[in-house]
Amino acid sequence: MAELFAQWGGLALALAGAAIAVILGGIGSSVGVALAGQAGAGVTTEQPEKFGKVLILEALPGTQGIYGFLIGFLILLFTGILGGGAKDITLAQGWQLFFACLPCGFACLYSGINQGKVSAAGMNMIAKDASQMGKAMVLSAMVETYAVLGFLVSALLVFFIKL
Amino acid sequence: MALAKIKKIQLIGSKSKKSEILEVLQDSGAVDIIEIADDSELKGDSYQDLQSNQKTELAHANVEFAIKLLNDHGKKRGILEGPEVLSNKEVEERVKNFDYEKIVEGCTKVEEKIANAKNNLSALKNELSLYTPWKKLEIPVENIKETVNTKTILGSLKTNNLDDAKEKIIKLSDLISLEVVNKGTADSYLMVIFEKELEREIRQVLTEYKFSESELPKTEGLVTDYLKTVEKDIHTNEKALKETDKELKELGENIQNLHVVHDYLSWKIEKTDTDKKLGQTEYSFMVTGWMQKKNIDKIKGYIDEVTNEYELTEIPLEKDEIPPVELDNNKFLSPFEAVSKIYGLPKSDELDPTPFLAAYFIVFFALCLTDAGYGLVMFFAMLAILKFFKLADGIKKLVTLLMYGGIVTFIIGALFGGWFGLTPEQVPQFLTYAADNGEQFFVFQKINALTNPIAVLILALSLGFIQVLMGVIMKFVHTFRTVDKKEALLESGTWVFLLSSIGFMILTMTGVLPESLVGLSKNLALIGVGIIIVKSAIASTVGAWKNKKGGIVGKFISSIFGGLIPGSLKGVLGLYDLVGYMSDILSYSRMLALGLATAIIGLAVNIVAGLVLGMPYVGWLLAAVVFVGGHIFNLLLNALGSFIHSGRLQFVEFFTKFMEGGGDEFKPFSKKTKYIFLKK
Repeated sequence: MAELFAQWGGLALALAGAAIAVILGGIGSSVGVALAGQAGAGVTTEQPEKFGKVLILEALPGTQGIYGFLIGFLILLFTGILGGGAKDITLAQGWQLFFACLPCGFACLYSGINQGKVSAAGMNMIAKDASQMGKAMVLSAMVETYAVLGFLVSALLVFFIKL
Repeated sequence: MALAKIKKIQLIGSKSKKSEILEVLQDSGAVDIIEIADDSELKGDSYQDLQSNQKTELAHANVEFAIKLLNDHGKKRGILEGPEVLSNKEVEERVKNFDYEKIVEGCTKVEEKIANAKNNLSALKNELSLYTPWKKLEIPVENIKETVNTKTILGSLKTNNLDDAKEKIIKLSDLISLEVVNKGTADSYLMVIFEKELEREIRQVLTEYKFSESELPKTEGLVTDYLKTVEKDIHTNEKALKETDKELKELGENIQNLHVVHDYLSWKIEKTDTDKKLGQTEYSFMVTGWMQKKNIDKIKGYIDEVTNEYELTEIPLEKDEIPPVELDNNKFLSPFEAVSKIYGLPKSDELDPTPFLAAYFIVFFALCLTDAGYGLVMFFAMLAILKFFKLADGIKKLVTLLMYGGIVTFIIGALFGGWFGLTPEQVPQFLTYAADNGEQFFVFQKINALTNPIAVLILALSLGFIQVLMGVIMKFVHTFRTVDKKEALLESGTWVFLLSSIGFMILTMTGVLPESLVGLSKNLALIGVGIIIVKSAIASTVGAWKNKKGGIVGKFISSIFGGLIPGSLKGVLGLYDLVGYMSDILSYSRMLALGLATAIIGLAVNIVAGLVLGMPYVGWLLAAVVFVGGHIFNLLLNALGSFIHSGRLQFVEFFTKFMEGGGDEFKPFSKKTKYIFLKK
């Protein structure tokens, strides 16, 4: 048992990290996009001509899922899973990669949901006055900052953990 | 370049020429007219033109209705054709030669027809479903009625209950005839004829089985015959409805003329609305408003062509009056106004941020995207849009801006070696070279963000430092020149000094500047910190000294305890702003993250395309679809992200250093168009 863990545990932990990043980012974005989408559907019923703007505002909380995906992708790339030959990864490296994924995962989870709320509120702005689109987008993008920072730290960690 | 110089003007003219002069002003679109105060003696009689105004508004609403009705039926102009471009004269000509009232009348009639047919259809279909179950009734409807001794009930119940109900009813008496007219899978329809005395008992049984009574059509003859006439009516109405389609199509031929009339009428409405804002006397009228200084002589020239019975003069502002704001930049910079306007306009006494943000915005946008291939695609796509489509002014600015973005992205992407997410190993050898550190680079590539992200991070933060410092310097210069020299030196001046000496210190400590300067730079930074504390302490002490009344001892004590000590503490706390500046600068690290995101998604697309390529026979096709679709997706997603985040860096990190914003927009009296473009 201990031997098995020593041999394969590192890789498993790295993959667990990748999974967490993708899952949490995905949850954050899907909840966020759903919140924005519901509000957007309301606006579109009354003013179908604003659909383009509604769509962009709805898409904004979608980036968190992509950041999570990217971290997962980097792990798959660096551990050699993509391309066939998985590298030997020690338990210590596995833990390192696992924790490296957490900043992106959690930051994206909360930032995605909350950005969705701000986007939904922004829908009210464009329902009243479509020329306020830019302001609604900037308000929403403020929330994304923290997902970007989480992604940045996770990406740097994954880049610099020596395998 | 910067904010337009806006002057308050007054135009007094002869009333007989009012309409012509207003027409000139509306054509020029250069005057923002101020509404005359409600309590002014010169306020015109608002009932005067009410009637003609109402007529125009009614006509406008009618045309709008007709356009809405004909929208899906009319001949549309192709996307490439764009809206019609007409001159003022052509518009008037078109309106004059086109009897829109006839078309509107036609539309009203057709709409009535449609509504009628639809109403009839729903009523007829209702009847059809109501009476169809009774189709098999073989007695003429008029024969089913009460006689002296008998009564008839028609109705339906659930087929499940039919047998039980039948049995119970027949048991009641021999004087009952029960006929099942129609036995369906769910419901069955019965006719019960009985002696009147039995009515109560029968109804009791029927209620028990949830029997619901029906009525027959009020007609004579068999039900099936009646249903046939209903079906015929349905057919006639459907045909009528189809015919309206043809009529709509015919009317729809006129939709382009309707569009012209729509815009023409909305100008007329705006003109009468504006008329109400003017000052009026018996023989003259007065326009008060805002105008760009450079336009005043031009407008005078235009009016001179019509009449000379007017006087246009520049007048001084009233107390506390704030002129509206208009951005006025040259052809190259004006696309960047699209960015400034997202934030809103600066106040009339502030700087126009557009020329200052232009270079930063476009470079940051490119750094967030960093893919030369995407840059090229964007440039050519936007160029094509500009060339082949007719665009309104606002959109044109945005598209031009994105075209600039494409060029800069191409240059910066090439420096970073981003080519559709490809790696140097995947392209022919002659396009790459071996860099000094042994890595394989693309031609023109200077840095690899994936293996050396720290260098990019430093670049991003340095750019951030430069922009933040520039913001503070702009505030300093603007306050120094236009507001108050002392305030400028004491407030933003001290921060300019501190921030630049910190920058100097970092440069010497990292070895960019000679190390021998480290001592000097550290001292400079300390002096900067000192100045901020001492400045606050002195200001507070002097303030306390002046405010305290009474003897010199009291003044002294109060200036120590009420001025010097809290002032110094405030100074120290003021240093906390440094944290603000630092977090602002760190915020620029997003450029690295977004650049990485573009690169990695591109990489992922290529890897997936490579995997798909391995499939037999159709692999190359699917790979091409994944490659093209994936990169288009990546480009759209990251171009949007880059635009927003580059914009955010301007609004949140840069603008806040030197402007508040919130100026009133200059809204000229003009001919606004919805469907056509007006030739200028």
